[in-house]
Amino acid sequence: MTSTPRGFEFDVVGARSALALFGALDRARLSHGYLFTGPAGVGKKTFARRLAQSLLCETPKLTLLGYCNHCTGCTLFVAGTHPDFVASDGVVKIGKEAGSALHDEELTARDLVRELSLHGYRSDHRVVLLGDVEFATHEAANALLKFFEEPPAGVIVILTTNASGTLLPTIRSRFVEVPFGVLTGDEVARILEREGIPAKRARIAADASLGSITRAREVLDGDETGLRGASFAWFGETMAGQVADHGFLRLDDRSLSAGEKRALVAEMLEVVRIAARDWAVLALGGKDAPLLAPDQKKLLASVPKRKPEDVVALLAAVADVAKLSESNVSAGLVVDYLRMQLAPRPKPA
Amino acid sequence: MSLYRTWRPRSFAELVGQDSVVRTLRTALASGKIAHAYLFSGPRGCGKTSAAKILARCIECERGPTPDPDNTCDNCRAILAGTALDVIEIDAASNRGIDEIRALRESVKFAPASMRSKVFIIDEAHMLTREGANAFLKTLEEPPAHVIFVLATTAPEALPPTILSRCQRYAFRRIPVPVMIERMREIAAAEAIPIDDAALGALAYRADGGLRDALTMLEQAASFAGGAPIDATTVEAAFGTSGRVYARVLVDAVLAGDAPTSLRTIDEASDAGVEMSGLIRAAIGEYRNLLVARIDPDLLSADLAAEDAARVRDNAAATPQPRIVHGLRLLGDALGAGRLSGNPRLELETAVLRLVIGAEDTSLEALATRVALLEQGAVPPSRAAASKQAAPPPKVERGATKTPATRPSLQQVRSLWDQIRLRAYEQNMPLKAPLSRATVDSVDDDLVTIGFIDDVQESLVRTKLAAIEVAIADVVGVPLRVKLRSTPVAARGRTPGAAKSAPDGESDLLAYARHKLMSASNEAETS
Repeated sequence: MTSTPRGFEFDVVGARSALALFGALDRARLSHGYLFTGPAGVGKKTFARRLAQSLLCETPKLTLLGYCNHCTGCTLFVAGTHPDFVASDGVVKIGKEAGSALHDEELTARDLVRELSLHGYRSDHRVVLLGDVEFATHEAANALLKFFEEPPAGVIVILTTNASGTLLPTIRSRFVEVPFGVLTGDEVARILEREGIPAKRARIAADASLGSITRAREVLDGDETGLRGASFAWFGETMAGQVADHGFLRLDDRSLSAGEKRALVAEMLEVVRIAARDWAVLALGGKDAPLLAPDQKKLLASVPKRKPEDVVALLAAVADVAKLSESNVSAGLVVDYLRMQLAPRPKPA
Repeated sequence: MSLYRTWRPRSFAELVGQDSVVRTLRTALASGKIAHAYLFSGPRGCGKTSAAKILARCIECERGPTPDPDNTCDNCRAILAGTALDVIEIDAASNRGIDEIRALRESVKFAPASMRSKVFIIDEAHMLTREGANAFLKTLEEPPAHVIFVLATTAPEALPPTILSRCQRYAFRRIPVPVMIERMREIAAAEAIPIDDAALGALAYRADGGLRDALTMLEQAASFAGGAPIDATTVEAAFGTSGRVYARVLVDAVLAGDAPTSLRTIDEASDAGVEMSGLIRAAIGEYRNLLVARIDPDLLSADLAAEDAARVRDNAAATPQPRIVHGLRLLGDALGAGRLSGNPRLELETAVLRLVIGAEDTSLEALATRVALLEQGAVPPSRAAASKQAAPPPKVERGATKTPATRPSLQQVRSLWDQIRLRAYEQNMPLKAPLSRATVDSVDDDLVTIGFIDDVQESLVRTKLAAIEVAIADVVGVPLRVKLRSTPVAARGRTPGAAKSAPDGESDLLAYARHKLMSASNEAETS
């Protein structure tokens, strides 16, 4: 943790390399564009927002990081109305030729270029944060290339993504890439506890989170609805050759639409993939191999062993089922097919 | 301001790594030959836009046209400051439609305001729309005498050929690692950034041929170090251990058949924040190097430092080529699947486990790999000297199989079964359904037994035996009698055709693999 001067705060968890990097920078040496990369839920966007607030904070300070939370700049920022901060999440489209700047409900590439050619309203800096950036089209990504290469003075662009491989290489080369590593289990647990989750549950979720807050929340959600536990149990029984009950998927429930059922099955499939993966890792990777669901280790260890080549074949088969479920196949069929792939093969007569 | 903007080359002498392009342009300029349209193409950060700006100054310089603009006259200074009225930089990616091109055509007509000619730099030209590009064609073909176009693009193949043929094309290359190191050293010295050679090397590798990438990272490393000397450790700390390092350990573990280490490496990479599809790509790169090393070890020296190249060569010598190709294919699939499912880590782990355990993998590619390995092993070592063919001719080449001299064996008939089936359909279409699931069970002298999965299927074929016999005679070249037999599903193995008369070992596996490969390619043809 870098120290912030007294009276300022900079509240992030993890983000070690980003803290080291920006902690050593001053305003004069700031680059015009940063690309925050790393898995989902490790604090990329949080860090970006804190950084933006630090840049727009109007109280003079010696370090780059840190904001006072009192000045007009900070007040506007916290209220979400700072005129020099532009934030948008997700897909960026190219936009109409004659769009009306940033007041439309969605931010487009052409709006960005137009709006940011103006000087800042309150501050010398204008900060653009495109979270989980994804360009709707090749055109949208290309439309920003020249802008990203040499943006007007004072403009600082921050992109965050968990799949930097999907960005154009021409975009990546115009940004300074800042990698975000995963959080430690303790850090995840601390964040969850701060949100009011009981320490014990926070611990389980943190163990299974692999350092991602997003994943930890998913685990908590799955725990709440019981889907996660039920899917693990289903996996265990099916692998042992029993006909496991899949009532928890509510395939016969007429109040659910086909789409909702498929969403449930997709969720269950995700859990089963993790279960299959962990089971395979237990079988092949040795005792201290890293598990994605350490809380289910006992159940997975009780699943009967198979020959290594069968384990691998099963992994491949489950991957195929996952692919199948993305095409337009009925949810029930996917579950049945999965069951056939998992069940132990009868001994040849 | 970013280093790459401060240090944009101001003359051809400073434009590094593009010797052939620079030489051609300079010679042409020295002899006063200026084309009306240039197209600069090449990957990101290799100097296209910079070259276009230099070319504009060469043409407009008060002492020009010259290959060496003085950068001090009014014209050069205006161009450098971006205030010249007669050098117009257009972003084709955001002005890509027909209306913008029409506006461009209008402005082309006017004479230059103060300089010799008007230079239009059209950057990211690949993003012009089809209509825009076509509306541009006539202007590009015969512009007024005072107009010069310079198009720059990373994707020349996206431009219509009619545009390409109107321009003088210059292909820019990725900047070689040594050249990049040299240039970075110059800039670091001028900016008073202390950095050692190992760190420069690490940055150059990461930059992957783009000087802009390299300079962005140099700048970042400098601010990270805060004035302290930069060494390889600083680079690693500033940018995280690159995927390449993990990929190297991972591929070594996979080749050594070490599942626990492979899994642990993936886990460590994930902990360190290495993006998983990046890791897959890096692993593919490692496999690619192995393949290159097997084909021509000298090619590696362009991409790798000497000790890395030696390590890859050792690994490659110990790994049969089909296994490398198999690895490339599985990892490639994992990359695609990871993009779809959003969980590249699972896909990578699955692929890695399949590669490590792979022996009994029954997928088509795995079998093909094993067939190729067996074939390699079976060929006498003098093959290379004796024949020029890259691979021994497969036994089942189409068309070449008309007349085996003797009675065919079970394997031969099986390997030809798909062709027999196709021939039979040609004569009698209703045979298609039942035959598609039938298999050749045995060949005794001149009696072929064909197995069906149930009585119904068999009864469908019973009346049409003649068609099958004709088909067999056509394809195999020897007339054979046909007998039908139906086998209940339960009694058969999961893989019809292969399992039945199994125990002749690998040769039967070979036949089965061929059979599967053939049927896959037939399906591809017929569908």
